[in-house]
Amino acid sequence: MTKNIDDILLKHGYQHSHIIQILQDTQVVYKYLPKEALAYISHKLKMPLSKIYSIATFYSAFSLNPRGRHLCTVCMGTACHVRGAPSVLSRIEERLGIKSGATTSDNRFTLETVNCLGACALAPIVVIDGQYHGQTTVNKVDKLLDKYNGKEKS
Amino acid sequence: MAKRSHKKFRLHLYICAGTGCVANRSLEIKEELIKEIARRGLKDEVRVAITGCNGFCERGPIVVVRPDGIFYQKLTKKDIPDLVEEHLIKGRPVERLMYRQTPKTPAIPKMKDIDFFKHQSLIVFRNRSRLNPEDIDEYINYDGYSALKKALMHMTPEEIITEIKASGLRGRGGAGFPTGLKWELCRQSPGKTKYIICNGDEGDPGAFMDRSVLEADPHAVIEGLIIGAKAIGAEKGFIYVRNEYPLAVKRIRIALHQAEKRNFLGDNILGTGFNFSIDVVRGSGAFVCGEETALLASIEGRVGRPRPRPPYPVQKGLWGRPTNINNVETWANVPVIILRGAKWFSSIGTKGSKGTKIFSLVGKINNTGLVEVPMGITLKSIIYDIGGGIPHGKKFKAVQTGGPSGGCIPKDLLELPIDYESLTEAGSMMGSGGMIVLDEDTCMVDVARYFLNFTQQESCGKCPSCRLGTKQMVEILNRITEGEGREGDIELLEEVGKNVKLSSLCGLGQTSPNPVLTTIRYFRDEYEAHIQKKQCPARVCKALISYVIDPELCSGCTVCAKNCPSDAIIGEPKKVHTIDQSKCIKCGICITVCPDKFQAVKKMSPVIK
Amino acid sequence: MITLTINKKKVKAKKGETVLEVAQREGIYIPTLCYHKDLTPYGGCRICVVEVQGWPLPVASCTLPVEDGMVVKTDTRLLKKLRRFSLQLILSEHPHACLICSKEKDCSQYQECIQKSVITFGCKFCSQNKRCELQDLVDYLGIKDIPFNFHYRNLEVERFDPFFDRDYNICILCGRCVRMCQEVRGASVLDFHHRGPETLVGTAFDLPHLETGCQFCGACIDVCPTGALRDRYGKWIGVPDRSIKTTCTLCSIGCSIRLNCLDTSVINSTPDDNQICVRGRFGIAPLVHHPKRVTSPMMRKGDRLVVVEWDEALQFVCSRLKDQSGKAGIVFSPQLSIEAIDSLYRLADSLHCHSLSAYSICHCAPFDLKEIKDEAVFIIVNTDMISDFSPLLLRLRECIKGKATFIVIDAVGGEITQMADLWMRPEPGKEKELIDQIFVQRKKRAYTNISAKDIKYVRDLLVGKNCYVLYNPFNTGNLSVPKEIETIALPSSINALKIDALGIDTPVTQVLHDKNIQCLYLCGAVPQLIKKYDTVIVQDSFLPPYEFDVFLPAALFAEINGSVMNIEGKIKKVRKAIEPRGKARSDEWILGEITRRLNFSGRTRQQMRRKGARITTYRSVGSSKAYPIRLIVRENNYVYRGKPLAQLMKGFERLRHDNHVWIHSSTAKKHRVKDGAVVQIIGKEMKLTMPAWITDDAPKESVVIFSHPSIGFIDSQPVRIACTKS
Repeated sequence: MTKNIDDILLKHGYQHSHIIQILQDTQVVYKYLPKEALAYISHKLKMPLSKIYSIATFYSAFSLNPRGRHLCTVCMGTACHVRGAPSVLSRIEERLGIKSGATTSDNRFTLETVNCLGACALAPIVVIDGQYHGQTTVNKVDKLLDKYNGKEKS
Repeated sequence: MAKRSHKKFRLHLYICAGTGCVANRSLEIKEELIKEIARRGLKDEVRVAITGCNGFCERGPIVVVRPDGIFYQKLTKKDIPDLVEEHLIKGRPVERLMYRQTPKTPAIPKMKDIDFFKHQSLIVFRNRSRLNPEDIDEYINYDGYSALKKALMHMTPEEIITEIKASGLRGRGGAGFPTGLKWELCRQSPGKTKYIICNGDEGDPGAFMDRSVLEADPHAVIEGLIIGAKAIGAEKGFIYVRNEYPLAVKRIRIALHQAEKRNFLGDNILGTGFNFSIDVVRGSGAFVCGEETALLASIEGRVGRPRPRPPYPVQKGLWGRPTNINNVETWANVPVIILRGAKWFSSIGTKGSKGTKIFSLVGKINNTGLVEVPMGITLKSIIYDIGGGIPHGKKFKAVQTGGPSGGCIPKDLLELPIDYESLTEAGSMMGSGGMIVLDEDTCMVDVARYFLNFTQQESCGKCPSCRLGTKQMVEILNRITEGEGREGDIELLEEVGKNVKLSSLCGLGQTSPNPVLTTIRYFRDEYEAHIQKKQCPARVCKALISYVIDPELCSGCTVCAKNCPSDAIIGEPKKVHTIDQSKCIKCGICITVCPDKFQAVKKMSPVIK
Repeated sequence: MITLTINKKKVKAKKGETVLEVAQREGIYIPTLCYHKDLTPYGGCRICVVEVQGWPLPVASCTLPVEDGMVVKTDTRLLKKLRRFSLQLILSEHPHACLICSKEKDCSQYQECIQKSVITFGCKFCSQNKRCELQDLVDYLGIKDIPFNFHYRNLEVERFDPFFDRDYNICILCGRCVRMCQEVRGASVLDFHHRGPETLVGTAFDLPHLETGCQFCGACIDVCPTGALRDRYGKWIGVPDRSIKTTCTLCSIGCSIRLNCLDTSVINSTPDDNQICVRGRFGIAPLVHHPKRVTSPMMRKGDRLVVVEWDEALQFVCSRLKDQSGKAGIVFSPQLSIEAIDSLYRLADSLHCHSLSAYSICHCAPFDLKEIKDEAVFIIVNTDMISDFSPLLLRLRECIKGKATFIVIDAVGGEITQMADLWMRPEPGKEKELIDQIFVQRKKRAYTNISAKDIKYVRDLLVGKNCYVLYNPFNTGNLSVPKEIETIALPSSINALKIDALGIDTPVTQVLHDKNIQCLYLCGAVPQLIKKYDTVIVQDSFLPPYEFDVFLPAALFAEINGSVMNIEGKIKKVRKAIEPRGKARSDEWILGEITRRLNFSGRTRQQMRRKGARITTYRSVGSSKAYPIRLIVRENNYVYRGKPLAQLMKGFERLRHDNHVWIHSSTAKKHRVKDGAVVQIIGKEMKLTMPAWITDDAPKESVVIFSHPSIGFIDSQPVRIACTKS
């Protein structure tokens, strides 16, 4: 782990003002921000851990909990909202058995919401593993999740 | 005009590679096209290029064929062989791939004839559908960086500022502060080190114009920044892009790299002795970082908590230095103003609001997408002429402008000309340009609750009025939408809303009650129905509606019963079905699966006892 | 000069001042909550809002810079309404039942019994009742009701750290503790986390403060306006009726403190002008009222210890001293008052006693912080200035206007090594070689394991800058540095300079090893004894762990008037805050009585014969096969009158582990030592038994102990570790 983080810190020149970028790059590598990684960054940058924790909990792009194998993000922007995003979200929550922000107990899915992806013409949008699925409906999302379950089995 | 080297091609295919179309797999279409063109031996005759967002995301993937300007929409991989065979080889554009207003109306082949595009005036989007954002030479060929040359070599900083002031350009990020004046204040602030920033933290849900500009024409923004830097006296600039726009970040980085290579950035730009460089900073999921002081904190590596103003960023900004922050769209206007002159620019628009504005027209509207229109155009024109009206024959109810800081504008005010002042007077605001159309099936109380929920989540938490005042308001709205509204709730919402506006520290808090206050102003009757009659007139609020099957329309096809997740529908085949209200979870699946020819499932409010 | 108008009154101001500062200066009251004069303004509570003519919205006056011609109103109806609104919202998250209860006055008699309930439901249940800034504001703004839903955060009260409790259910998020910890103390343990309505104040990952490097200085408690952060010891005693300014004598800095008292109790001690440390903040009140304190004179009669009257005890002492006049030895703690030390000195003189010895003898000079020049580089050797001298470190930083760089040379890690700009970790015993390498250009190969890059860095840093070497002489021995480098010795004990000036330099070991001494007089000292004595006289506040003949109960410094001399050579006053408990009397009085009864007054002082000063120091420690581990001995300066604070207060034991032996994790693994297990440290002529604390602050293949005369006089030496059967 330390090698990865050393590379990231070097890339940003060990600058304190780049801490948000450093955390973003760290999250790309580990898919979330492990506590040990933050402690190491604090030690190397000589930046108080409380400050780093404060930043990691303030910005919603950061996750301090490990994410599941598949990340499912539902856009809750206004355009998506008026086109039925809340029902889509409820359906996904029902199917996966978790509330938004959590990960399924078998670690397969993490469900998150985001406030507008900027692809409003495709509302409502669900992004799974970086793939955008536009104009989703409760039905479509059922089929989508079936596909992922199928993928896993095969 | 295409590049000189492109003159040998007889046809150019511009494939939209904005986020919307990419999500609809337009890049796969591009690959397929290139393969097919090669296969048919047309490689030296037909050029394939990508462009940024065309604005008509509803109809993606989009391909525009030039020089004729034929517009193809909703393409799939399967359509490619046909397109190549018929149009590229035989010269017969494929009608079934063209735009039709409705399935029954005739196809409109050319882009400029389509209503959506016809009524737009392009300044910021001047290079739409003809420019590859990853090729600086194409930009240069469309007069790119000529404004920069003029500004650096033939104008003084004061002259640049005078020109921008005379143009009447106002900040496109929301507040509408006169841009030239802001530059002047920054220039006049004491201190040698100054910074300029491009605010691309487009956080308003429903707004995506900044994203499109950055993806489609990054050089326009960069050129504007360099001119601004010269005018203000800054040697370092930052482009702050929110985290959810990875494609925009990628395009900007490519553009910056190319600009540096051509000496438009870096040291001794164009030999004039002026130094300027730009860094890209990514946001991390905080709407509040669109607020100037929070954005500065974020760049400095701190949490995005706003600080009180004064001092303003133009006096004390990044690391305590004078800093000028402008929105993406504002910056993109700068090169064209310098090139064509303030007089020309100020001839467009209204007395108080000059130039054009990009709006993201979304929601309950036929033609969803980005539109650039001159200031002063009426809301009616945008919604009906350009937007094509409300889908499924529903009635227009209101349009929400300005995002969570704005308000709704009802039917009676549709003739309102769009400009900063008129929108503010109506209780809303221009904001970043989000325009969300709502129809009769939208509950205004729910919309207010949605927005307030949003601002609550995005509140930084520093001052009690925003952190807790909005929470109290959300709780009242929740009660109302759940059928627990009480007499006096509306007055309480108004009182708390007004106090939150007056005591909050930053713009987020100060404008967060706007959606509530405007919906109360124009749709008080809906609130009263929720409270007094426990009724949701739009039949949205789950606690106040029941799903029922109309016995006169039901044919007993059993589709709904089969799909109901809680087994709440009872009925035998070919017999009328009924919904057991005690089991119904109001998920809405039955309405969507009931075949169109029957449409037997209905929503009723108040609930059936 | 700027002129502005506040409430129709024309006032003058300087550029850069805020409207609030000007208003306060002019006696115009503007209510505040998150504002504190020592911290940067935050502008978060929205209570101090004012109206400025021509501006669309009210603005927070604490962050509003003055402008010429500004017209400000501080007290309009709108402002009152908005202030009430903001406070009502704050109270919607803070248990406010008592604040607006109509029966509030009638309820006062119930305060005592229900107060110590586990949950703070309202003011009557809160330790800060009547000392709370929210109560003051509610009174001022005349709030009679709170028309909002009440949200209780329902968090566990944090009681797992030593010294203070944290109840974040009543925190109002003013951020004062955060700013104090970050800006003034520099520890940055606390910060806001999460955002919006989820915002809370706390440590990273909600870790216990013990694990986050908290110095337990208590500064956050001092600025907390509510009862959220409070001393565990004194919070229920009551509202103080007096606050006595005195001097803390627990270390050589001698900070000015205030002892806050109610009747005969010391409730707590707080800073007076400058910041203080955990000893002065949390170590005084519980010490004064310690249950093990003995406050009656006692004598051994046969097998039993019997409480006696002062007369009898003093009589006994005098008779023994007279009898064994030439064979008396006196050991005392420098933490007595100067007056007491003078009395001891005269007493020793009268008794022809050449064996007068004190702890922590060293030769050191006073220094003046003001003389430290800007652009300074501080090299700190073998001294954890954060755990031992934090108030001094803070003042050092303040003095330097330009940049101050801190280089730490220490084989042992600690809090200072974390914050240093560079930590050089030589092998134990090689500090002198390292210092030579830095200051003297040598072409020879490096002796130490420090990289050439680091040495070059320090050498380059020193060019053109003023350099100061700070060190605790006990931990380093004599340091030799080039003449142009200033050294500042940091003796750990108060009055060290005074004792040096008096010429008292006989080491304690010498007195204890002296076969001739039959009568031992211990005045605030509890050294490990190596032989039996005819008479042992103990003048102290706690009983020693061995047999004695007479016990004279001494008052603590909170109970006396006197003076002390601190590390800068300044004389500071110690003032009596409460009457001595029980029958205890001041050392000065006791010694005065003895002198009087011995009838030796009137003799002139003779200069003590100066013997060669021998400072207990450690040598370069080698190791051998039989004794493969290096024992590093550091001074324990968390002591009072001979007793380590860790022995008396559990909080100090948890904080410092200075009654443990520190072992590196790899060394512990090699020797199969588990954390907390009791081990024996065995040297050629010494054996210690103590529990182990596994930490990588200890260097590899070494162990660290915090020495104190109560465990014997031990030098650094090779040792081996043996696990005991548990």
